[in-house]
Amino acid sequence: MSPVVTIFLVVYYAIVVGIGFWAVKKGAAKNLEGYLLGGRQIGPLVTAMTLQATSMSGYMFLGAGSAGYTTGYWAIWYASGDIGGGVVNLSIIGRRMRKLSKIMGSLTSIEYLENRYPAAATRLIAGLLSVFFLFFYVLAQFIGGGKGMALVTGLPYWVALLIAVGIIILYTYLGGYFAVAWTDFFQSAVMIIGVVWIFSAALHYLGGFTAVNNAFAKIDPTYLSIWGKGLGYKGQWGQVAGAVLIFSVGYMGWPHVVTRHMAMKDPKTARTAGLYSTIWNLFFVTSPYIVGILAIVILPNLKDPELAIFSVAGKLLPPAVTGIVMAAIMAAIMSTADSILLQVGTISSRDIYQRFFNRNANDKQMVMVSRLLILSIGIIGYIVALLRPPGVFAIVVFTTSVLGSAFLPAYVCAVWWKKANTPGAITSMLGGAIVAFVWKVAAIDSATAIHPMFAGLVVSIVLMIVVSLLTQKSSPVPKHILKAMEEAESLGDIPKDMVNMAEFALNAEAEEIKKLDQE
Amino acid sequence: MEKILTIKQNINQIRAIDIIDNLSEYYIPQVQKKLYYPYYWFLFKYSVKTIFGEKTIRVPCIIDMLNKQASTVDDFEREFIAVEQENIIQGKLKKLEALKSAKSYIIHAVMHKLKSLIYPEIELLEENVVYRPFWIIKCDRSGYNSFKVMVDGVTGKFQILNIVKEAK
Repeated sequence: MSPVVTIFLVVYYAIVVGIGFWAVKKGAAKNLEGYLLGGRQIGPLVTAMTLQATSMSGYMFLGAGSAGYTTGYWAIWYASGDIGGGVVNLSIIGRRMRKLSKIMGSLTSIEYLENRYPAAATRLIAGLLSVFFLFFYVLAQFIGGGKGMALVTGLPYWVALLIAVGIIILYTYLGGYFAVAWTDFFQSAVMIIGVVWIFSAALHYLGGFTAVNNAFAKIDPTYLSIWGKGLGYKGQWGQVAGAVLIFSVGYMGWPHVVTRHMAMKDPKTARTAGLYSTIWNLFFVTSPYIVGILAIVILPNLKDPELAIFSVAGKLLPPAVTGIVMAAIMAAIMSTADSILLQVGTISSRDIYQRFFNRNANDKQMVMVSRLLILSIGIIGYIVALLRPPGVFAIVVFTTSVLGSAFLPAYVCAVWWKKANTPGAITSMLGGAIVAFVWKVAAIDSATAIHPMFAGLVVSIVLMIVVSLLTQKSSPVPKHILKAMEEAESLGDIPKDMVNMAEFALNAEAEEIKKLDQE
Repeated sequence: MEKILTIKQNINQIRAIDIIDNLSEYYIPQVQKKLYYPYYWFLFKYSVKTIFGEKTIRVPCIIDMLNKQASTVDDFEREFIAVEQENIIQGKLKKLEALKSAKSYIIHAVMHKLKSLIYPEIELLEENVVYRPFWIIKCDRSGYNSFKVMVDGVTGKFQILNIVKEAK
């Protein structure tokens, strides 16, 4: 990379650090408080961009580009699932799960699973599975950060990786990653401009899609096929189903941590922000895949396909812009990494340590446990990323396959099927995770042409249904849960508009008032 | 009558009825009563030392005095008003327990938002018991089950309480 790229990379970081520094000063305290309290003081556009900045990960910039570069238009199967993912998620379980989770007072999704499927084993299994597989996702971010840093700075991979992992752990320990709305907004804006610029520059350079497709016809026409390069997936609908499912429903299996906020005004911000996010997603999700596909023609002999987007940017954009865009991408990777690390920290301290090892653990001890675990993950992650670095795309697909297979039926049935009970959920989680894991590790997917996500999900669903039905007498669903589920369903005669507009945040109060009404 | 500290009401009876009326065609909404729901409200000073200097922010937290649920909360206006005893819901939670829950929740919530694993210094700046007004509205329709709704007197948001079966 040219020195100009490095200079602008440094300039970019100086600006972000400057905003971070300004944000902790008194003058910006209101901004920080507004951000903490649900973003109500910063408006829907900034809120939406902030959400996007934290959800963009190394996968989009390294994994999606690599998928496009190595398989051609086949990669769009993954993108199609990703585009519809948010909508499917919201319509299938989103609303009901939020309602049930509030009725049951759950703060993490693992706590929610234990409340719905009451047993210590539910929490232990869900917690351990989550921590184990989130480690792989963090690993993908480490590798992304290391590779990006090596490309930009020219440092050897092991040094660049050490710096990337070191910075991520350090800022998580030393006070957070400039977590202020305006820095996230700034980064998100740079990424949007950057992605649009890379995409347009690549398309302009090649002379439009017709020219690109003509070029493919000469290089290798199978790039144009829906079955992938060399028709490698021809007729393999099990692989197609898995590719679409992985990001459309696989994400639902991801554990999450929630915080509650009580609004004192009608929070229209959240709704408008959701709309902006969806529009942004429609464009952003497909762009990295397509840039990867275009890179086949622009840079046909790329050594590392994961660097397709970085390399196209380096070739086509002015050096100053490349430096800024790369810095923003690296920042996004690191920002995702520390979010996941904190998630792992919360799950391990709250859902495992406090629940199973030290019920009286105070907040200080829980923070210590989180810190120790995150440090261990950093060290182990560095070693794995250095010695046997797997591909970012492969890790994310693997992680989402296993988490989706393990948790999806448990989450969906929690709100949609009253007979789903504890033994059913536990066997479904274990069975789904084990099958998806073994399917990939033992390369059964290549032999059977069935995607691990598809196989894991089928086993997980079957186990949930069969085991729940067989154990209805020995392990009936507790009455208070059935009652909570009934509450989460629509309410008979009540007009639909009214049911749809009802406010989840008032569920706890509604429950108490109902009890008083019945007394 | 008892004098209590409340979150200032923005939604009056007519507006509350109007909100429900707009969404429940053919039903006739009628206010049954106005209830005051109890919360502990705490304002904390939350400080963490970072490489950029010390971050200090004020974080308000509210604890539901019936079910102990904690949330961060927007700023709100308060006012003392006299209310009939029967319209005040009595809280069950003890103050020390509420304070412990509030501190623990604030640490959890702020750490997540700040993405920081630093144990903070937390100082309690203000505390109070505050009551939030809720309009309880019954919706009737000839030949159908009636149902009850509670409308938040501060935001105008509402939640369905239950179906009243005997109305059929």
